[in-house]
Amino acid sequence: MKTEISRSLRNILTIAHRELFAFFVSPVAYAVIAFQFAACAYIMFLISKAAERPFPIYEQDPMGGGLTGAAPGIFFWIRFTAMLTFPLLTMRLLAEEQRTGTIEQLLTSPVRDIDVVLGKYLGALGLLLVTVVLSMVHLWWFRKYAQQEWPQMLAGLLGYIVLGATFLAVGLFVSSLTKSQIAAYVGTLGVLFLLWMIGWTAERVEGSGIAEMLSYVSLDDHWDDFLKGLLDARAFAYFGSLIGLTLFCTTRSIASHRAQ
Amino acid sequence: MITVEGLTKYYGPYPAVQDLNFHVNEGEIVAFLGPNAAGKTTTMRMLTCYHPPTRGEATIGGQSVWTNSLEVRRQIGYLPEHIAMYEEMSVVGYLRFCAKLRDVPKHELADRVEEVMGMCRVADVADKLIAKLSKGYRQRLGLAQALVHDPPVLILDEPTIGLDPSQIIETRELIKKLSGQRTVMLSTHILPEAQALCERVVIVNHGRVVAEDTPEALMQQLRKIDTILVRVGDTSEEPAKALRAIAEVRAVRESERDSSSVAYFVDTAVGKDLRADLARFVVQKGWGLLELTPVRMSLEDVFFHLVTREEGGN
Repeated sequence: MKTEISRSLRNILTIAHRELFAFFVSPVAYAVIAFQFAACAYIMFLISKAAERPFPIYEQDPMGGGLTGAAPGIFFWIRFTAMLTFPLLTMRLLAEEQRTGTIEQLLTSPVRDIDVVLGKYLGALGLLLVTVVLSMVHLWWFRKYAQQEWPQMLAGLLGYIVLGATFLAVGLFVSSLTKSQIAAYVGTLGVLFLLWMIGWTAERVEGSGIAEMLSYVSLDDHWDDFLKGLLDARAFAYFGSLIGLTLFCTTRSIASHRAQ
Repeated sequence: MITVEGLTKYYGPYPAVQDLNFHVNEGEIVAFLGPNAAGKTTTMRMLTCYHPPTRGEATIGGQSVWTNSLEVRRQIGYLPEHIAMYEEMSVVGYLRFCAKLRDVPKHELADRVEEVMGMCRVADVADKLIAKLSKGYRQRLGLAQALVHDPPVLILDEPTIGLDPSQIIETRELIKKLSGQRTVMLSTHILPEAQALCERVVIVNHGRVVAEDTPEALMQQLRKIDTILVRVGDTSEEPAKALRAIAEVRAVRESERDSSSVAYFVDTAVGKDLRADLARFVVQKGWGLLELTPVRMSLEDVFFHLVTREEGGN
Protein backbone atom coordinates (compact mmCIF):
# COMPACT_ATOMS: atom_id res chain seq x y z
CA MET A 1 0.00 0.00 0.00
CA LYS A 2 1.54 3.23 -1.13
CA THR A 3 1.39 6.15 1.23
CA GLU A 4 -0.22 9.43 0.26
CA ILE A 5 3.17 11.13 0.42
CA SER A 6 4.83 8.88 -2.12
CA ARG A 7 1.76 9.22 -4.35
CA SER A 8 1.99 12.99 -4.08
CA LEU A 9 5.66 12.90 -4.86
CA ARG A 10 5.11 10.76 -7.91
CA ASN A 11 2.37 13.07 -9.15
CA ILE A 12 4.51 16.16 -8.62
CA LEU A 13 7.41 14.62 -10.49
CA THR A 14 5.16 13.40 -13.30
CA ILE A 15 3.71 16.87 -13.80
CA ALA A 16 7.11 18.55 -13.48
CA HIS A 17 8.56 16.19 -16.04
CA ARG A 18 5.77 16.94 -18.48
CA GLU A 19 6.18 20.68 -18.00
CA LEU A 20 9.89 20.51 -18.59
CA PHE A 21 9.23 18.48 -21.71
CA ALA A 22 6.64 21.03 -22.86
CA PHE A 23 9.18 23.83 -22.41
CA PHE A 24 11.58 22.17 -24.76
CA VAL A 25 9.11 21.42 -27.53
CA SER A 26 8.10 25.07 -27.67
CA PRO A 27 10.42 27.70 -29.08
CA VAL A 28 9.74 30.03 -26.15
CA ALA A 29 12.14 28.30 -23.78
CA TYR A 30 14.96 28.32 -26.33
CA ALA A 31 14.31 31.97 -27.13
CA VAL A 32 14.36 32.91 -23.46
CA ILE A 33 17.55 31.02 -22.76
CA ALA A 34 19.29 32.37 -25.85
CA PHE A 35 18.17 35.93 -25.14
CA GLN A 36 19.27 35.79 -21.56
CA PHE A 37 22.61 34.27 -22.44
CA ALA A 38 23.28 36.79 -25.19
CA ALA A 39 22.03 39.75 -23.16
CA CYS A 40 24.29 38.88 -20.22
CA ALA A 41 27.30 38.50 -22.45
CA TYR A 42 26.63 41.77 -24.20
CA ILE A 43 25.97 43.69 -21.00
CA MET A 44 29.15 42.35 -19.54
CA PHE A 45 30.99 43.54 -22.58
CA LEU A 46 29.40 47.02 -22.36
CA ILE A 47 30.10 47.43 -18.69
CA SER A 48 33.69 46.40 -19.10
CA LYS A 49 34.01 49.00 -21.88
CA ALA A 50 32.33 51.67 -19.81
CA ALA A 51 34.83 51.09 -17.04
CA GLU A 52 37.32 52.61 -19.48
CA ARG A 53 40.11 50.36 -18.60
CA PRO A 54 41.16 47.00 -19.72
CA PHE A 55 40.36 44.00 -17.60
CA PRO A 56 40.72 43.37 -14.78
CA ILE A 57 38.14 45.74 -13.34
CA TYR A 58 38.98 45.77 -9.72
CA GLU A 59 38.03 48.08 -6.92
CA GLN A 60 38.04 47.41 -3.29
CA ASP A 61 34.50 47.29 -1.96
CA PRO A 62 34.42 49.69 1.02
CA MET A 63 32.16 47.26 2.85
CA GLY A 64 34.63 44.53 2.14
CA GLY A 65 33.89 41.02 1.08
CA GLY A 66 31.20 41.63 -1.53
CA LEU A 67 31.24 41.64 -5.28
CA THR A 68 33.31 44.51 -6.56
CA GLY A 69 33.73 46.72 -9.56
CA ALA A 70 31.28 46.03 -12.30
CA ALA A 71 29.97 42.82 -10.76
CA PRO A 72 26.90 44.26 -8.97
CA GLY A 73 26.05 46.10 -12.20
CA ILE A 74 26.14 42.89 -14.10
CA PHE A 75 23.94 41.15 -11.59
CA PHE A 76 21.56 44.07 -11.84
CA TRP A 77 21.23 43.46 -15.58
CA ILE A 78 20.93 39.74 -15.13
CA ARG A 79 18.07 40.43 -12.79
CA PHE A 80 16.53 42.86 -15.24
CA THR A 81 16.58 40.39 -18.11
CA ALA A 82 15.23 37.70 -15.80
CA MET A 83 12.36 39.98 -14.91
CA LEU A 84 11.52 40.46 -18.57
CA THR A 85 11.97 36.86 -19.68
CA PHE A 86 10.84 34.65 -16.79
CA PRO A 87 7.20 35.68 -17.15
CA LEU A 88 7.48 34.30 -20.70
CA LEU A 89 8.20 30.92 -19.18
CA THR A 90 5.43 30.97 -16.62
CA MET A 91 2.67 32.62 -18.66
CA ARG A 92 1.81 29.32 -20.33
CA LEU A 93 1.76 27.12 -17.24
CA LEU A 94 -1.84 27.44 -16.10
CA ALA A 95 -3.32 29.97 -18.55
CA GLU A 96 -2.88 27.58 -21.48
CA GLU A 97 -4.42 24.69 -19.54
CA GLN A 98 -7.45 26.82 -18.85
CA ARG A 99 -7.73 28.07 -22.42
CA THR A 100 -7.53 24.66 -24.07
CA GLY A 101 -9.41 22.84 -21.30
CA THR A 102 -6.67 20.32 -20.51
CA ILE A 103 -7.00 21.46 -16.91
CA GLU A 104 -10.20 19.42 -16.70
CA GLN A 105 -8.21 16.22 -17.23
CA LEU A 106 -5.64 17.26 -14.68
CA LEU A 107 -8.15 18.23 -12.02
CA THR A 108 -10.26 15.10 -12.45
CA SER A 109 -7.21 12.89 -12.00
CA PRO A 110 -6.52 11.73 -8.46
CA VAL A 111 -4.05 14.53 -7.86
CA ARG A 112 -4.30 17.14 -5.13
CA ASP A 113 -4.44 20.74 -6.31
CA ILE A 114 -1.27 21.56 -4.40
CA ASP A 115 0.53 18.75 -6.23
CA VAL A 116 -0.51 20.23 -9.56
CA VAL A 117 0.89 23.59 -8.47
CA LEU A 118 4.09 22.13 -7.08
CA GLY A 119 4.60 19.98 -10.18
CA LYS A 120 4.24 22.95 -12.49
CA TYR A 121 6.49 25.03 -10.27
CA LEU A 122 9.12 22.35 -10.14
CA GLY A 123 9.08 22.09 -13.93
CA ALA A 124 9.70 25.82 -14.20
CA LEU A 125 12.48 25.61 -11.60
CA GLY A 126 14.08 22.94 -13.76
CA LEU A 127 14.33 25.44 -16.56
CA LEU A 128 15.75 28.03 -14.18
CA LEU A 129 18.50 25.57 -13.34
CA VAL A 130 19.28 25.23 -17.04
CA THR A 131 19.88 28.97 -17.22
CA VAL A 132 21.99 28.77 -14.07
CA VAL A 133 24.18 26.07 -15.56
CA LEU A 134 24.61 28.14 -18.70
CA SER A 135 25.46 31.26 -16.71
CA MET A 136 28.39 29.40 -15.20
CA VAL A 137 30.16 30.25 -18.44
CA HIS A 138 29.76 33.93 -17.64
CA LEU A 139 30.88 33.46 -14.11
CA TRP A 140 33.95 31.60 -15.18
CA TRP A 141 34.79 34.34 -17.66
CA PHE A 142 34.08 36.97 -15.09
CA ARG A 143 36.25 35.37 -12.47
CA LYS A 144 39.09 34.94 -14.85
CA TYR A 145 39.07 38.45 -16.26
CA ALA A 146 37.55 40.52 -13.47
CA GLN A 147 39.28 38.81 -10.60
CA GLN A 148 36.24 38.07 -8.51
CA GLU A 149 36.29 35.42 -5.86
CA TRP A 150 34.23 32.29 -6.15
CA PRO A 151 32.44 32.54 -2.77
CA GLN A 152 31.13 36.04 -3.51
CA MET A 153 30.13 35.11 -7.01
CA LEU A 154 28.37 31.99 -5.81
CA ALA A 155 26.51 34.10 -3.26
CA GLY A 156 25.42 36.29 -6.16
CA LEU A 157 24.40 33.22 -8.13
CA LEU A 158 22.46 31.86 -5.19
CA GLY A 159 20.73 35.22 -5.01
CA TYR A 160 19.86 34.89 -8.67
CA ILE A 161 18.41 31.42 -8.11
CA VAL A 162 16.31 32.55 -5.16
CA LEU A 163 15.14 35.64 -7.03
CA GLY A 164 14.36 33.63 -10.17
CA ALA A 165 12.42 31.10 -8.08
CA THR A 166 10.37 33.99 -6.70
CA PHE A 167 9.70 35.39 -10.18
CA LEU A 168 8.53 31.96 -11.32
CA ALA A 169 6.21 31.58 -8.34
CA VAL A 170 4.65 34.98 -9.00
CA GLY A 171 4.35 34.11 -12.69
CA LEU A 172 2.67 30.80 -11.93
CA PHE A 173 0.14 32.54 -9.70
CA VAL A 174 -0.73 35.21 -12.25
CA SER A 175 -0.98 32.51 -14.92
CA SER A 176 -3.62 30.76 -12.81
CA LEU A 177 -5.82 33.85 -12.90
CA THR A 178 -6.40 34.06 -16.63
CA LYS A 179 -6.87 32.10 -19.82
CA SER A 180 -4.77 34.54 -21.78
CA GLN A 181 -1.03 34.05 -21.92
CA ILE A 182 -0.49 37.69 -22.87
CA ALA A 183 -2.47 38.86 -19.85
CA ALA A 184 -0.45 36.47 -17.69
CA TYR A 185 2.79 37.89 -19.05
CA VAL A 186 1.83 41.54 -18.60
CA GLY A 187 0.30 40.87 -15.19
CA THR A 188 3.42 39.10 -13.95
CA LEU A 189 5.62 41.87 -15.26
CA GLY A 190 3.42 44.38 -13.45
CA VAL A 191 3.68 42.58 -10.12
CA LEU A 192 7.45 42.18 -10.43
CA PHE A 193 7.89 45.85 -11.31
CA LEU A 194 5.77 46.79 -8.35
CA LEU A 195 7.88 44.68 -5.99
CA TRP A 196 10.90 46.41 -7.40
CA MET A 197 9.53 49.94 -7.27
CA ILE A 198 8.51 49.64 -3.66
CA GLY A 199 12.23 49.74 -2.94
CA TRP A 200 12.60 53.10 -4.69
CA THR A 201 9.75 54.50 -2.63
CA ALA A 202 11.56 53.34 0.47
CA GLU A 203 14.55 55.45 -0.52
CA ARG A 204 12.36 58.55 -0.92
CA VAL A 205 10.72 58.39 2.49
CA GLU A 206 13.89 57.61 4.30
CA GLY A 207 14.03 57.59 8.05
CA SER A 208 10.45 56.75 8.85
CA GLY A 209 9.11 53.44 10.01
CA ILE A 210 7.27 53.17 6.71
CA ALA A 211 10.57 53.24 4.86
CA GLU A 212 11.82 50.34 6.88
CA MET A 213 8.66 48.40 6.20
CA LEU A 214 8.72 49.21 2.49
CA SER A 215 12.32 48.26 2.12
CA TYR A 216 11.59 44.97 3.82
CA VAL A 217 8.72 44.30 1.41
CA SER A 218 10.82 45.24 -1.58
CA LEU A 219 12.84 42.64 -3.45
CA ASP A 220 15.77 44.99 -3.75
CA ASP A 221 17.21 45.03 -0.27
CA HIS A 222 17.15 41.30 0.14
CA TRP A 223 18.70 40.76 -3.24
CA ASP A 224 21.42 43.27 -2.39
CA ASP A 225 22.36 41.12 0.58
CA PHE A 226 23.38 38.36 -1.75
CA LEU A 227 25.46 40.73 -3.86
CA LYS A 228 27.25 41.89 -0.75
CA GLY A 229 28.14 38.28 -0.20
CA LEU A 230 25.79 38.06 2.75
CA LEU A 231 23.70 34.98 3.24
CA ASP A 232 21.18 36.51 5.58
CA ALA A 233 18.49 34.32 7.09
CA ARG A 234 16.07 37.21 6.70
CA ALA A 235 16.56 37.23 2.96
CA PHE A 236 15.83 33.52 2.79
CA ALA A 237 12.82 34.00 5.03
CA TYR A 238 11.61 36.81 2.78
CA PHE A 239 11.94 34.94 -0.50
CA GLY A 240 10.79 31.69 1.07
CA SER A 241 7.63 33.20 2.45
CA LEU A 242 6.94 35.09 -0.79
CA ILE A 243 7.23 31.85 -2.75
CA GLY A 244 5.14 29.96 -0.19
CA LEU A 245 2.46 32.63 -0.22
CA THR A 246 2.18 32.82 -4.01
CA LEU A 247 2.07 29.03 -4.36
CA PHE A 248 -0.63 28.88 -1.71
CA CYS A 249 -2.57 31.58 -3.55
CA THR A 250 -2.19 29.56 -6.75
CA THR A 251 -3.84 26.52 -5.18
CA ARG A 252 -6.64 28.75 -3.92
CA SER A 253 -6.97 30.17 -7.40
CA ILE A 254 -7.32 26.65 -8.82
CA ALA A 255 -9.91 25.86 -6.17
CA SER A 256 -11.90 28.91 -7.22
CA HIS A 257 -11.51 27.90 -10.86
CA ARG A 258 -13.16 24.60 -9.94
CA ALA A 259 -16.10 26.33 -8.29
CA GLN A 260 -17.16 28.31 -11.34
CA MET B 1 -22.15 2.36 -7.35
CA ILE B 2 -23.11 5.96 -8.05
CA THR B 3 -25.60 7.71 -5.82
CA VAL B 4 -26.68 11.29 -6.14
CA GLU B 5 -28.81 12.98 -3.49
CA GLY B 6 -30.10 16.51 -3.62
CA LEU B 7 -27.22 17.54 -5.85
CA THR B 8 -27.40 21.24 -6.68
CA LYS B 9 -25.06 23.53 -8.55
CA TYR B 10 -25.37 27.25 -9.03
CA TYR B 11 -23.20 29.28 -11.37
CA GLY B 12 -23.51 32.63 -9.70
CA PRO B 13 -27.24 33.15 -9.32
CA TYR B 14 -28.10 30.68 -12.10
CA PRO B 15 -29.01 27.14 -11.15
CA ALA B 16 -27.45 24.61 -13.55
CA VAL B 17 -28.55 21.55 -11.60
CA GLN B 18 -31.23 21.54 -8.96
CA ASP B 19 -31.87 18.93 -6.35
CA LEU B 20 -30.85 16.00 -8.53
CA ASN B 21 -31.50 12.47 -7.26
CA PHE B 22 -30.64 9.20 -8.97
CA HIS B 23 -28.49 6.14 -8.55
CA VAL B 24 -26.59 3.78 -10.79
CA ASN B 25 -26.08 0.18 -9.77
CA GLU B 26 -22.83 -1.70 -10.17
CA GLY B 27 -22.29 -3.01 -13.66
CA GLU B 28 -25.15 -1.01 -15.12
CA ILE B 29 -25.02 1.20 -18.22
CA VAL B 30 -27.12 4.27 -17.67
CA ALA B 31 -27.84 7.04 -20.11
CA PHE B 32 -28.13 10.56 -18.92
CA LEU B 33 -30.50 12.00 -21.46
CA GLY B 34 -31.50 15.58 -21.92
CA PRO B 35 -31.48 18.49 -24.31
CA ASN B 36 -28.46 20.77 -24.48
CA ALA B 37 -27.99 22.89 -21.36
CA ALA B 38 -30.06 20.50 -19.24
CA GLY B 39 -27.25 20.17 -16.70
CA LYS B 40 -25.73 16.91 -17.92
CA THR B 41 -22.16 18.14 -18.17
CA THR B 42 -22.40 20.00 -14.88
CA THR B 43 -23.60 16.84 -13.15
CA MET B 44 -20.78 14.79 -14.63
CA ARG B 45 -18.27 17.41 -13.62
CA MET B 46 -19.53 17.21 -10.07
CA LEU B 47 -19.28 13.41 -10.10
CA THR B 48 -15.71 13.59 -11.38
CA CYS B 49 -14.85 16.16 -8.69
CA TYR B 50 -14.06 18.88 -11.20
CA HIS B 51 -16.74 21.15 -9.78
CA PRO B 52 -17.69 21.05 -6.13
CA PRO B 53 -21.49 20.95 -5.74
CA THR B 54 -23.24 23.93 -4.22
CA ARG B 55 -25.35 21.56 -2.12
CA GLY B 56 -26.13 17.90 -1.89
CA GLU B 57 -24.14 14.71 -1.93
CA ALA B 58 -22.75 12.38 -4.55
CA THR B 59 -20.92 9.17 -3.83
CA ILE B 60 -19.06 6.74 -6.04
CA GLY B 61 -18.28 3.32 -4.66
CA GLY B 62 -19.38 4.58 -1.27
CA GLN B 63 -16.86 7.47 -1.29
CA SER B 64 -18.14 11.01 -1.06
CA VAL B 65 -17.06 13.69 -3.52
CA TRP B 66 -16.84 16.01 -0.54
CA THR B 67 -14.70 14.07 1.87
CA ASN B 68 -12.90 11.52 -0.29
CA SER B 69 -12.44 13.28 -3.56
CA LEU B 70 -9.16 11.56 -4.40
CA GLU B 71 -10.64 8.08 -3.84
CA VAL B 72 -13.62 9.01 -6.03
CA ARG B 73 -11.30 10.18 -8.80
CA ARG B 74 -9.26 6.98 -8.60
CA GLN B 75 -12.35 4.95 -9.43
CA ILE B 76 -13.41 7.02 -12.39
CA GLY B 77 -12.46 7.07 -16.02
CA TYR B 78 -13.75 10.27 -17.52
CA LEU B 79 -14.21 11.34 -21.11
CA PRO B 80 -15.15 15.04 -21.19
CA GLU B 81 -17.41 16.37 -23.90
CA HIS B 82 -14.69 18.34 -25.66
CA ILE B 83 -11.62 16.38 -24.82
CA ALA B 84 -8.59 18.62 -24.64
CA MET B 85 -5.20 16.96 -24.62
CA TYR B 86 -1.65 18.20 -24.66
CA GLU B 87 -1.16 18.71 -28.37
CA GLU B 88 2.61 18.55 -28.21
CA MET B 89 2.69 15.05 -26.72
CA SER B 90 2.73 11.78 -28.58
CA VAL B 91 -0.15 9.36 -28.14
CA VAL B 92 1.90 6.91 -26.13
CA GLY B 93 3.55 9.68 -24.11
CA TYR B 94 0.17 11.13 -23.20
CA LEU B 95 -1.21 7.77 -22.13
CA ARG B 96 1.84 7.13 -19.97
CA PHE B 97 1.39 10.55 -18.39
CA CYS B 98 -2.27 9.82 -17.64
CA ALA B 99 -1.45 6.36 -16.28
CA LYS B 100 1.17 7.76 -13.92
CA LEU B 101 -1.16 10.41 -12.59
CA ARG B 102 -3.82 7.77 -11.93
CA ASP B 103 -1.64 5.54 -9.81
CA VAL B 104 -0.94 2.76 -12.27
CA PRO B 105 2.02 0.92 -10.69
CA LYS B 106 5.31 1.36 -12.50
CA HIS B 107 5.73 -2.29 -13.47
CA GLU B 108 2.25 -2.46 -15.02
CA LEU B 109 2.48 0.85 -16.80
CA ALA B 110 3.86 -0.26 -20.14
CA ASP B 111 1.44 -3.20 -20.34
CA ARG B 112 -1.59 -1.10 -19.45
CA VAL B 113 -0.75 1.52 -22.06
CA GLU B 114 -0.17 -1.20 -24.63
CA GLU B 115 -3.46 -2.85 -23.73
CA VAL B 116 -5.64 0.26 -24.00
CA MET B 117 -3.98 1.30 -27.23
CA GLY B 118 -5.01 -2.07 -28.65
CA MET B 119 -8.48 -1.89 -27.17
CA CYS B 120 -9.18 1.58 -28.50
CA ARG B 121 -7.30 1.02 -31.75
CA VAL B 122 -4.80 3.83 -31.48
CA ALA B 123 -1.74 1.55 -31.56
CA ASP B 124 -1.02 2.47 -35.17
CA VAL B 125 -0.63 6.15 -34.26
CA ALA B 126 1.26 5.53 -31.01
CA ASP B 127 4.17 7.79 -31.91
CA LYS B 128 2.16 10.50 -33.65
CA LEU B 129 1.71 13.88 -32.03
CA ILE B 130 -1.77 14.47 -30.69
CA ALA B 131 -1.93 17.72 -32.69
CA LYS B 132 -1.81 15.62 -35.88
CA LEU B 133 -4.65 13.27 -34.99
CA SER B 134 -8.01 13.24 -36.77
CA LYS B 135 -11.22 13.73 -34.83
CA GLY B 136 -11.91 9.99 -34.82
CA TYR B 137 -8.51 9.12 -33.43
CA ARG B 138 -8.78 11.86 -30.83
CA GLN B 139 -12.03 10.40 -29.60
CA ARG B 140 -10.49 6.92 -29.43
CA LEU B 141 -7.54 8.35 -27.54
CA GLY B 142 -10.00 10.08 -25.22
CA LEU B 143 -11.53 6.71 -24.44
CA ALA B 144 -8.09 5.15 -24.07
CA GLN B 145 -7.05 7.72 -21.45
CA ALA B 146 -10.30 7.13 -19.58
CA LEU B 147 -9.52 3.40 -19.46
CA VAL B 148 -5.81 3.43 -18.85
CA HIS B 149 -6.07 2.90 -15.08
CA ASP B 150 -8.75 0.21 -15.48
CA PRO B 151 -11.40 2.14 -13.51
CA PRO B 152 -14.55 0.44 -12.24
CA VAL B 153 -16.66 3.44 -13.26
CA LEU B 154 -16.73 5.16 -16.64
CA ILE B 155 -18.25 8.58 -17.07
CA LEU B 156 -18.60 9.54 -20.71
CA ASP B 157 -19.90 12.95 -21.68
CA GLU B 158 -21.43 12.83 -25.16
CA PRO B 159 -19.04 10.12 -26.35
CA THR B 160 -20.25 10.16 -29.95
CA ILE B 161 -20.67 13.85 -30.55
CA GLY B 162 -19.03 15.18 -33.69
CA LEU B 163 -18.23 11.76 -35.11
CA ASP B 164 -19.28 10.46 -38.52
CA PRO B 165 -21.83 7.61 -38.66
CA SER B 166 -19.30 4.79 -38.95
CA GLN B 167 -17.27 6.22 -36.08
CA ILE B 168 -20.44 6.53 -34.02
CA ILE B 169 -21.20 2.85 -34.51
CA GLU B 170 -17.61 1.91 -33.75
CA THR B 171 -17.62 3.98 -30.55
CA ARG B 172 -20.91 2.52 -29.42
CA GLU B 173 -19.62 -0.99 -29.97
CA LEU B 174 -16.52 -0.19 -28.00
CA ILE B 175 -18.57 1.19 -25.12
CA LYS B 176 -20.74 -1.91 -25.16
CA LYS B 177 -17.68 -4.13 -25.12
CA LEU B 178 -16.14 -2.15 -22.27
CA SER B 179 -19.20 -2.10 -20.14
CA GLY B 180 -19.15 -5.78 -19.06
CA GLN B 181 -17.98 -5.54 -15.48
CA ARG B 182 -17.83 -1.75 -15.42
CA THR B 183 -20.42 0.75 -14.36
CA VAL B 184 -20.98 3.19 -17.19
CA MET B 185 -22.78 6.48 -17.16
CA LEU B 186 -22.97 8.29 -20.46
CA SER B 187 -24.73 11.47 -21.41
CA THR B 188 -26.38 12.01 -24.73
CA HIS B 189 -29.10 14.01 -26.36
CA ILE B 190 -29.62 11.36 -29.00
CA LEU B 191 -32.47 9.10 -28.04
CA PRO B 192 -31.68 6.03 -30.18
CA GLU B 193 -28.22 6.02 -28.69
CA ALA B 194 -29.62 5.74 -25.18
CA GLN B 195 -31.94 3.01 -26.34
CA ALA B 196 -29.21 1.09 -28.16
CA LEU B 197 -26.66 1.17 -25.37
CA CYS B 198 -28.30 1.52 -22.05
CA GLU B 199 -30.26 -0.53 -19.59
CA ARG B 200 -31.67 2.49 -17.89
CA VAL B 201 -32.30 6.10 -18.80
CA VAL B 202 -32.29 9.14 -16.55
CA ILE B 203 -33.93 12.04 -18.32
CA VAL B 204 -32.99 15.51 -17.11
CA ASN B 205 -34.24 18.90 -18.08
CA HIS B 206 -33.52 22.31 -16.60
CA GLY B 207 -31.28 20.67 -14.05
CA ARG B 208 -33.90 18.29 -12.69
CA VAL B 209 -34.61 14.60 -13.20
CA VAL B 210 -37.90 14.35 -15.06
CA ALA B 211 -37.97 10.57 -15.51
CA GLU B 212 -35.86 7.55 -14.68
CA ASP B 213 -36.51 4.02 -15.91
CA THR B 214 -35.66 1.45 -18.56
CA PRO B 215 -36.22 2.73 -22.10
CA GLU B 216 -39.08 0.25 -22.58
CA ALA B 217 -40.80 1.14 -19.34
CA LEU B 218 -40.48 4.83 -20.07
CA MET B 219 -42.22 4.40 -23.37
CA GLN B 220 -44.84 2.22 -21.79
CA GLN B 221 -45.48 4.68 -19.05
CA LEU B 222 -45.58 7.65 -21.32
CA ARG B 223 -47.89 6.04 -23.83
CA LYS B 224 -50.50 6.19 -21.15
CA ILE B 225 -50.47 9.92 -21.45
CA ASP B 226 -52.91 10.59 -24.22
CA THR B 227 -52.15 13.35 -26.56
CA ILE B 228 -54.76 14.79 -28.86
CA LEU B 229 -54.02 17.06 -31.74
CA VAL B 230 -56.55 19.88 -31.94
CA ARG B 231 -56.55 22.27 -34.88
CA VAL B 232 -58.63 25.40 -34.55
CA GLY B 233 -59.36 28.38 -36.80
CA ASP B 234 -58.76 30.96 -34.07
CA THR B 235 -55.14 32.10 -34.23
CA SER B 236 -55.17 34.19 -31.05
CA GLU B 237 -53.67 33.06 -27.76
CA GLU B 238 -57.15 32.52 -26.37
CA PRO B 239 -57.61 28.78 -27.24
CA ALA B 240 -54.33 27.74 -25.64
CA LYS B 241 -55.24 29.50 -22.42
CA ALA B 242 -58.75 28.14 -22.32
CA LEU B 243 -57.61 24.58 -23.12
CA ARG B 244 -55.06 24.70 -20.33
CA ALA B 245 -57.76 25.74 -17.92
CA ILE B 246 -59.64 22.45 -18.42
CA ALA B 247 -59.14 20.27 -15.34
CA GLU B 248 -58.24 17.01 -17.12
CA VAL B 249 -55.74 18.66 -19.46
CA ARG B 250 -52.15 18.33 -18.32
CA ALA B 251 -50.38 20.43 -20.89
CA VAL B 252 -50.95 22.26 -24.14
CA ARG B 253 -48.19 22.75 -26.69
CA GLU B 254 -48.40 24.53 -29.96
CA SER B 255 -47.58 22.14 -32.77
CA GLU B 256 -47.80 24.28 -35.88
CA ARG B 257 -49.32 27.53 -36.97
CA ASP B 258 -50.24 29.07 -40.29
CA SER B 259 -52.19 32.18 -41.25
CA SER B 260 -55.60 30.64 -40.76
CA SER B 261 -55.17 27.91 -38.17
CA VAL B 262 -53.20 26.73 -35.16
CA ALA B 263 -52.63 23.12 -34.13
CA TYR B 264 -52.12 22.22 -30.48
CA PHE B 265 -50.97 19.05 -28.79
CA VAL B 266 -53.20 18.57 -25.81
CA ASP B 267 -51.90 16.12 -23.20
CA THR B 268 -54.57 14.61 -21.04
CA ALA B 269 -54.61 12.56 -17.89
CA VAL B 270 -53.97 8.85 -18.14
CA GLY B 271 -56.78 6.78 -19.58
CA LYS B 272 -59.25 9.61 -20.05
CA ASP B 273 -60.56 9.96 -23.53
CA LEU B 274 -61.35 13.63 -23.83
CA ARG B 275 -61.97 13.70 -27.55
CA ALA B 276 -65.71 14.16 -27.32
CA ASP B 277 -65.43 16.74 -24.55
CA LEU B 278 -62.79 18.68 -26.42
CA ALA B 279 -64.82 18.73 -29.61
CA ARG B 280 -67.82 20.04 -27.77
CA PHE B 281 -65.71 22.64 -25.96
CA VAL B 282 -64.07 23.99 -29.11
CA VAL B 283 -67.35 24.18 -30.98
CA GLN B 284 -69.03 25.89 -28.03
CA LYS B 285 -66.29 28.54 -27.96
CA GLY B 286 -66.75 29.11 -31.67
CA TRP B 287 -63.04 28.79 -32.58
CA GLY B 288 -63.76 26.64 -35.57
CA LEU B 289 -62.81 22.97 -35.11
CA LEU B 290 -60.68 21.97 -38.08
CA GLU B 291 -59.07 18.77 -36.87
CA LEU B 292 -59.10 16.50 -33.83
CA THR B 293 -56.84 13.44 -33.84
CA PRO B 294 -55.43 11.19 -31.13
CA VAL B 295 -51.64 11.13 -31.35
CA ARG B 296 -49.58 8.00 -30.80
CA MET B 297 -46.28 8.92 -29.30
CA SER B 298 -43.04 7.86 -30.86
CA LEU B 299 -39.97 7.57 -28.69
CA GLU B 300 -38.82 10.96 -29.88
CA ASP B 301 -42.15 12.37 -28.80
CA VAL B 302 -41.78 10.83 -25.38
CA PHE B 303 -38.54 12.63 -24.92
CA PHE B 304 -39.84 15.83 -26.40
CA HIS B 305 -42.88 15.58 -24.24
CA LEU B 306 -40.86 15.15 -21.09
CA VAL B 307 -38.44 17.93 -21.70
CA THR B 308 -41.06 20.43 -22.79
CA ARG B 309 -43.66 19.58 -20.19
CA GLU B 310 -42.30 22.13 -17.79
CA GLU B 311 -42.64 25.01 -20.17
CA GLY B 312 -45.92 23.75 -21.58
CA GLY B 313 -47.54 22.86 -18.29
CA ASN B 314 -49.66 25.48 -16.61
